[in-house]
Amino acid sequence: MHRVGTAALAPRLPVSAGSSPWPACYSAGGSGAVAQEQPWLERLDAALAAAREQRRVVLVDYLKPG
Amino acid sequence: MSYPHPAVAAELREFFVCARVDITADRGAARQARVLWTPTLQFWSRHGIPLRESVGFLPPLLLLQQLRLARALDALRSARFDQAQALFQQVAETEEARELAPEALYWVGIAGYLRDRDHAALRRAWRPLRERFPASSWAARTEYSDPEAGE
Repeated sequence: MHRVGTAALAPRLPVSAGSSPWPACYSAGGSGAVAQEQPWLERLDAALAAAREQRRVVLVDYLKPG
Repeated sequence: MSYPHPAVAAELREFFVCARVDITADRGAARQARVLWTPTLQFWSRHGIPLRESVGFLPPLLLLQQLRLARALDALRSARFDQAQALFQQVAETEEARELAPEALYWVGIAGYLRDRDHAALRRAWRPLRERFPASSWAARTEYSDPEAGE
């Protein structure tokens, strides 16, 4: 793994730890509009920004669907 | 699927921000993250420090302990030593995650040492690791000579 976290890139996507364990970054329709449309690094930065706000740990799951 | 398990879901809701990456749709991400096999779980501190990586399917109770280990490592990185020790101890005492116990016991000692800077206490803290899991690679990590302790 390598260190990331360029705050300037963080687009403040609706990544949050809401009621679903898998929030807006993936939950919608199983494939997740945000997850598919945003570049990976931006998504990761958005997750890191949300984690800083909420003092949480970031979990990134790399998977093949199905 | 392990994520819908109530204890896993509760842990994720309370302590994590989650992101999923479909590597078939985002091959660049898989390359950048150096993913060899799926699922790969990567844990990061909120400051972007990598905490842990797990490769392969995990049944619910093992995933739950991996989540707790990640939280414990995060607490350790944030100098929350008492919280880290408690979480590591919790993992060490969970029968369903027995394979993680040696690692957790190792970190129990490290968390205490980073708080107190006491080599003798570190040796005492590692005693359960050496007694319960003498053949583990984590016990082997405790077998160095400590010049400050005169061993």
